[in-house]
Amino acid sequence: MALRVMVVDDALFMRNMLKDIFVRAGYEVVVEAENGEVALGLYQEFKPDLVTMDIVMPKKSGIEALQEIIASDPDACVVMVSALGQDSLVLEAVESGAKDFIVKPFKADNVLGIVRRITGQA
Amino acid sequence: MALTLIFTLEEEVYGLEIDAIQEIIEEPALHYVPRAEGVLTGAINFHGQVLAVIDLPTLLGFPGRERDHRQVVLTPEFKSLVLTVSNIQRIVKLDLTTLQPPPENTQGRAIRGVAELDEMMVKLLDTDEIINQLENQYGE
Amino acid sequence: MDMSQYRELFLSETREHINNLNQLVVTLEQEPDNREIIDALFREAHSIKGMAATMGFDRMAQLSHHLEDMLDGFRTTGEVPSPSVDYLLAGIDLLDGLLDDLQSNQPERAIDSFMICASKEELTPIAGILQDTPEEVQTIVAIEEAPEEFQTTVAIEEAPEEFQATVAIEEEVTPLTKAAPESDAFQVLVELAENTPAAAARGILILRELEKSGELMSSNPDMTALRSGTPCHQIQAWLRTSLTKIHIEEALLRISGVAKVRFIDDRRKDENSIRDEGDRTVRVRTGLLDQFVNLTGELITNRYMLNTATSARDWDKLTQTLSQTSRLIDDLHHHVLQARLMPLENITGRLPRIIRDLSRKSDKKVALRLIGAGVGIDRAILEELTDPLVHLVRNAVDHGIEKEGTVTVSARREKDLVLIEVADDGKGMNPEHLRQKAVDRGLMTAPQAVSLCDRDALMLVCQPGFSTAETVTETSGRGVGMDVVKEAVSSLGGTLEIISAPGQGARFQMRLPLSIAIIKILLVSCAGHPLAIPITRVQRTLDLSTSEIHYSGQKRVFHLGEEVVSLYSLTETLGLPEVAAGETTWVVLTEVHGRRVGLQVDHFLGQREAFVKRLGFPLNLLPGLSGATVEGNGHVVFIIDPQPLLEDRQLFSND
Repeated sequence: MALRVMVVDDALFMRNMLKDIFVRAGYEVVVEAENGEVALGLYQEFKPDLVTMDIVMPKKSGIEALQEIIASDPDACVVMVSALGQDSLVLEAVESGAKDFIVKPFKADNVLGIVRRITGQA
Repeated sequence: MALTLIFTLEEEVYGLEIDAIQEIIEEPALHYVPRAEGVLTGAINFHGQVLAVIDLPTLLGFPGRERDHRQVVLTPEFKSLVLTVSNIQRIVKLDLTTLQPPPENTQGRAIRGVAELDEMMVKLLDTDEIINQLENQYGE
Repeated sequence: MDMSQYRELFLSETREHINNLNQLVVTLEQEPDNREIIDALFREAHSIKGMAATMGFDRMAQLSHHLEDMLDGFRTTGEVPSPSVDYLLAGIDLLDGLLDDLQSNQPERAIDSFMICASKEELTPIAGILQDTPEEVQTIVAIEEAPEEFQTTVAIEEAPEEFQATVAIEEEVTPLTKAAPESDAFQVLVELAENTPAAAARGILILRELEKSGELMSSNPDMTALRSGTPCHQIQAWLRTSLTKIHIEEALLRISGVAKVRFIDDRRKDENSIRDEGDRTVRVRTGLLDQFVNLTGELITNRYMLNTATSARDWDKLTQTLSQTSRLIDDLHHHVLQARLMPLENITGRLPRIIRDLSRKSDKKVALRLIGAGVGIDRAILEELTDPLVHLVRNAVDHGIEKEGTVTVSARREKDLVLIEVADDGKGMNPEHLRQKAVDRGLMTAPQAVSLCDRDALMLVCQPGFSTAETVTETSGRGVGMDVVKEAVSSLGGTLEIISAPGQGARFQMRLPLSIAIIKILLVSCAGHPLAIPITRVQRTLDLSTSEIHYSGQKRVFHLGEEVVSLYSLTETLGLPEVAAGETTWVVLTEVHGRRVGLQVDHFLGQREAFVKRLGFPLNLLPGLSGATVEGNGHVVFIIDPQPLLEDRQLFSND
């Protein structure tokens, strides 16, 4: 069964780009969210295999959303998406239980490599 | 004044400045060096270093038989050469300011000069020249 | 501050930077608008400038500053115009020359003409008003470059830290729980790619991966340090695990940003080291030094145990402690050798540049492939190998490849040896032509040439004065330098082999010992004197009966398969008294100038490993002696190299 992915990002451009990468790789993007708050609700509803989570977003930041997701589902597979120069935020996210992180600008191979590693798919 | 080790060879007295000496050793085992010839008589194991043994009497033109059972190891500055000498006497203070040029008949025999000591004439060895001669002989 | 202590380090690091510059420029030529490469070039030049200024090497500082400025300009425009590539390369060559000067304690060579030529070209708008009079130009250049200014600002503000950084010894961890050597505990070194973003977070992910693989005993930096945001470029960790290293390596390499994974504590006992090399500098991880200290400590303990066991006449205890001691010595040996190993890439760095220049000059399209550049080899050997490797690569381009092709330089371990191969996919070599040439050059008679097998015929190119190049190119004629290559490889205790056939390319294989300090020797005796011959010099040993030895004129020969091999007496060669021949003649089969010869000895005393001692003056001047080794009883045994020995005695002639 194809990997079910949720993409969380406040920028439509980024969501589309990630979606594109995943779909081309044969994954299924089951749902998208534009901020942390929306993401929380949708996570419970869709229970995706993987979440890509932007860090800086309105309403609820990616890190807060991550922490809450992990609290309810310790095995959640969340990959943070950050911009360059957000090292301390990335660190916080990894400590909070993010499985890995992607730094913008990224390449498709990069994203897929990280996803394959943490989901254990070849 | 320079501390000098003096030894006799035939009728002559030779001196070697203490500053050039690393150690005086008793009867070290002499090992075979392939193709060694001339003044190079073998090698010794000196604290794990393999050092060449040079027969000083031969180098000085007296290839006679008398040799001291002790050998002189020069300082690393003089390639840690091991010198076989004859009849080591004692260590004396030599006044190098009175050093006279070497006599004509010792030309090319590694003598730096002659100093007087208690009415004896001491021929002071020229360690640099010893190395030069070895270089010429073995270095092609 | 006395800078002389940093001199060696400066020389070796600058050489690395210059190599990097060369490689980067070659890549840049293919991708002139690659920002990353321009940035990297800039950083390399900047590093050299900082170090040179700190050391007070003004011209090198001035030149690298100049190159840095120029590169900075390209950073702004985002592109490097192609004429500038040649100019850059010329500048790098000049840097290289300056470094040569410094290395040989010469005053730095002049750089004015280069700088003037720079000002005249595209680099400075001021160029238009410059005259050809050097004095005038120099003044302007001087003002432009303002040496005083960068002396003060650059040298003091940025250079010291940078230099410090290069001097700093890599920190390393010692295991908290001490791993028994037999256990599956080892140290793993994970290197991150340069400029990995959020490196601390990356480090945490790496440690997590390691935790999954087994018991993570300790690491540097550790979790706490990483959590506090300590940036890291590499992580060293002690791990106890039942997983294989390959498995762990794969898992780690899948983590984004991980550039390299190495296992440090491999308990293999095969690498070796040390040769004549004055006071060179090697960078040693402090962890390795710690291990030395630990091992020395254990050895001291062992000595007391031996003392106790001896005075108590407790033979069991003695035997046991002795075997422990020998294990510790093996360990110590291994670690000492580790400290001397350097990856081959230290000398392959120049190759892309050389290939590029050769391709241009010869108007051929040549690609370079490097395989196994990470293979470690003793630094003394590595240094001697630089020129032979370049020779082989040159030959491959000049004579192997016709219009277009690939030169492959590969390295791999073969037991105690490293195999380094330079292969081309060009036209190959024709043994028949080579035989013919050898006859034409008067090197041998026609029947002799015919009797050569193909393998030996190919080796003819290594004979001095043999050249098959129809037209000698600017860089080399075929065969020019091949004798030098062969000699160099031989003097390192290695062998050279050529594999080629018409239309099938050519492969030049150098097999070299991993180190030269500890070698395997064959002990023989002649007239009662023990002598050692390096195993790498021995093809095999034979015992011939009297009937197998024949006379060819004055010379003794014997048959080895189809081949007729000359027999020489080592005893006689050494000028020792001959012992009356018995029924059996003991023979060491060796090679002199590519030809097999037999060396008769009185006895074989066996094979063993020997630590090679360098020879002091004037022993080092004697032909045929390559070192000495001290036996357990304190006896000195000299190591002989048959080739110069036979050559010197002129027993061997090219008849």
